[in-house]
Amino acid sequence: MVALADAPVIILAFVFLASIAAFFLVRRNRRWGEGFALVSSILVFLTILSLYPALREGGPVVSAYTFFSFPLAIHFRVDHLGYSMALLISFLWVLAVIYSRAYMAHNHALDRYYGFLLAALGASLGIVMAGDMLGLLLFFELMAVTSYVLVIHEEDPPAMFAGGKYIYMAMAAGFAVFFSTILLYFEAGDLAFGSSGLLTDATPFTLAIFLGFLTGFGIKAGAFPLHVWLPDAHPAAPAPVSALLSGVMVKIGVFGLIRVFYEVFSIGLIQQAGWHRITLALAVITILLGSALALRQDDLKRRLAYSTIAQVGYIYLGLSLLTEVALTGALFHIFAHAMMKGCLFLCAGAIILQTGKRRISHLGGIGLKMPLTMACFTLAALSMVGIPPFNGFLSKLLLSLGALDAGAPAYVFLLIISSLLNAAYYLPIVVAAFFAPPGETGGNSLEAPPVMLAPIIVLAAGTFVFALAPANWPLEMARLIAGTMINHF
Amino acid sequence: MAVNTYLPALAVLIPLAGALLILVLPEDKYRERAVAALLTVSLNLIVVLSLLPPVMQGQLPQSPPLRLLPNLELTLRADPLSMAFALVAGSLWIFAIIYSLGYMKGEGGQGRYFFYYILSMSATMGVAFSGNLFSLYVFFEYLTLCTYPLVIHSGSTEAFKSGTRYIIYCLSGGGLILAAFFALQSLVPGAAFEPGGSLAPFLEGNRTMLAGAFLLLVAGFAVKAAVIPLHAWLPGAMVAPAPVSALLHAVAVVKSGAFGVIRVLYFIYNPAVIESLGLQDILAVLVSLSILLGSILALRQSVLKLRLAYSTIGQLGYIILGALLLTPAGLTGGILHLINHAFLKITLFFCAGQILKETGKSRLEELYGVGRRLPLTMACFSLAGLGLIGILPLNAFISKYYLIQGSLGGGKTVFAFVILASALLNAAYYLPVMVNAYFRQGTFTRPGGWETSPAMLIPTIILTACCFALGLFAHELSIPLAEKVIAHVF
Repeated sequence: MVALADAPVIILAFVFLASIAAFFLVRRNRRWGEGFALVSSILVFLTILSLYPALREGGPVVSAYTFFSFPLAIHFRVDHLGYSMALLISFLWVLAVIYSRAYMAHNHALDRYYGFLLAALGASLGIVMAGDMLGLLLFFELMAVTSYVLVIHEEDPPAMFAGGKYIYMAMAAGFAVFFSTILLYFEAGDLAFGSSGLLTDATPFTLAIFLGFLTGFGIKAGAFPLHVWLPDAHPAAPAPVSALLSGVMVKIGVFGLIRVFYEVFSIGLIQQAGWHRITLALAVITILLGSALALRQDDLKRRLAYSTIAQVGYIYLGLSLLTEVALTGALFHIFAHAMMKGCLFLCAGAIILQTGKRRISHLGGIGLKMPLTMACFTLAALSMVGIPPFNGFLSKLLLSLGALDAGAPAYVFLLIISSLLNAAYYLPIVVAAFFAPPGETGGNSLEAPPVMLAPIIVLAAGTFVFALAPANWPLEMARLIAGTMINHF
Repeated sequence: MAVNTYLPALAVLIPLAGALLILVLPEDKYRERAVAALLTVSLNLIVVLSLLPPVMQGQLPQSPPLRLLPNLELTLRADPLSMAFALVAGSLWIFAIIYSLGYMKGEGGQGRYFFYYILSMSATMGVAFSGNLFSLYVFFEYLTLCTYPLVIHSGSTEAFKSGTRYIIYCLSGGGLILAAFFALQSLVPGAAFEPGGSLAPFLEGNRTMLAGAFLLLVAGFAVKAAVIPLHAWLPGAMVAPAPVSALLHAVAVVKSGAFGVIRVLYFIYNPAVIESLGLQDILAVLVSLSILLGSILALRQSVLKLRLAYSTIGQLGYIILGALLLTPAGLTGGILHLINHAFLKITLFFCAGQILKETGKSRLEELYGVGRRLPLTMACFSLAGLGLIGILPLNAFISKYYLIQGSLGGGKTVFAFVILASALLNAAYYLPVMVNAYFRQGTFTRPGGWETSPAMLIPTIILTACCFALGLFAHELSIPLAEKVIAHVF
């Protein structure tokens, strides 16, 4: 057991040391190294899980340690939002590590892969557990660098091109956040979270701070018009990395934005200044554009990537409606989308690995050869479309209710149109997979190995289990967080 | 409070004596020369370090002046600003000597090389500890003269050409300083460095003359700091061996230019006088252009060392810009960048030297996949490069932070954007080097055993660790020194 106040430091130190150890272990003995990476990621997940009682009893806790004494020390802080994100991140990471064992089996430079995979885990956890903007920025930059190495893992020309785009955009994001952080410190004299709004005035200067953060975190989240790196980077990465990129890393951009809305500014100030209209407009464009472009893609992973853009738009929407129910929907969608999109990317990886096919038009009849994989794909796709009783339905319901609360029923129509678009680009894949005649004869099963199937099945189950179970913990958590955040001011 | 001590003079005389000792050693006494060189620089660092406690307590240790003519004396004394420069130079010289021992192994003319290398340390210490404009001028010229043989070390036609250009530029810069010194002589005989200067009473009636002298002084020092358009000597001087480029053209020579600018701005003139002359903004704009142009030109270089050289031009601009902001935060940023850039850039140059030495390749497109051959070297290069871009927790982040605070605090937001734009450009010219080194396929193979001589590799690794330490423990290491300078001048 770890005390809550010590947990962030211990977890981060452990992850970064483990990433170094994994690098050398994999180099020496692949099996041991992979086992070590798996055990470390499970350990991190379990440690975070075990913190829950302490968090429920004690509430948000500021870590006792501080680092980097300039001009303010970096410290850590565990609150409900950061905790839930950390739990989700570490859980998806465990699945990705398991999946990698089979998916990356014949790949090169595995030492680098596992080392950076764990380092990226540490960076992501650092972002969600940071107690001030400077700490968030530190790990934000670290995540950009570490995930870059994962994105270009294949080192082929498309990956290098995508990686180039990714790293420049990520650097630009880092500078935008850096710049706003400095302006924020200049204006507020403090960067720590937990004080219900560091800035209290809407002036052109604070608007500049807001826009800087919006740019920085918007790039990471892949929201219009800063999404241009995402459709290249997500497909180019190895499948487990794509699942992590789409499943959790874009959410970290949104997470940063939530911090900006509720910690840097306050919801009252944003509402009064009307800045939420900027993100609302971006959300609408992002949702429609992402879905429309997804329709036009024939490359499976690219279609999934554009779908991610649209889904980030939902979260943006829920965040910018500024009502409790909408925020609950946004937070729940972070979880729901992580399950669905993680599952879809892992399925896509299994298909590509087993058949070598990336194009949707070549996937006719694939469901007969990979029944389990495609069954899971179907579940996740249905959840994406928003059919009950899946998670996706719940989040759309909450978002719609939130839109009505905010007195903006037009967004309900937007959600319905977007659901139709989702159906239009997901269902044909499913239909063709099961009902189109197989392209080539020979009915050998091409089912993926169990190591890959297990994470896929877990995620597919995640898309509906919580929606059906009597206690929906993710939803309860989202309600709790949204309740405290909205009522705080 | 002035205290009499011989320590500042010793800091200049020890390297001089060490250099002479090396000069008389026969050419083939490699081991003895190494011992002599290391002993000299270590002893010198101890002298510099022993000056630190009194200076931090607010004393100004001063050596007895050497009077040449009435009002014309060589004065050596230590104040917080000289400590900042002397400490950086003193500690980097040790790394550079160890590195040189590895790099120059098997090369000819080692006696001459180490003689001038140590001699230029004496000149640099003189620049750091100069107590008046005349001494600064003398040591400035002395530095030019004893680095010239290092630039032309290889003896090739190109080296001589670059050397000639180097000496013409630097001596011309010195000439400008001398002219300004004569002009100021009538008002402040001796032009001693006092915090706040001593020109304020003479402002009325001498405006044109003061403004002219100011411009001459800044231009003269800006030549050494390689501010565009006075930079043309720097890229050419990259023909020198890597340790020379590293120490002299990333740290000592160019920094002595920036150091001189700070001396002029805050110890001969002062912010109030400069503002009343109304020159700070136009100069800051010119320096900003130099920053951006340097970064853009760096993008266009296809030779690694040249890219680093143009990057130096951009980074030196930060220091001068910080000083020209005339705010405490701006000057803090400038001084911190003087320290931080020195450590980062010397690491980058050391890595470039190792690459050149081990692979013989210097063009960027020949260096695809070099990370396989030199993994640790390229790891250090990448970390230092990321540091210069301004990634936490490396040190340049801190100086950039203060520079932006300085420009915002002075209400000059445009310079904050210059720094930000330049940071983006830094990313654009450093990242491809790192990426191509690791992820592009090349013809390089893994090394057997040490990837390069430990004498080069170990200093590089320690310096990289120093960059982290200066970032993580800035509050304990670099910031107190900078604050001491601020307390001294503001």
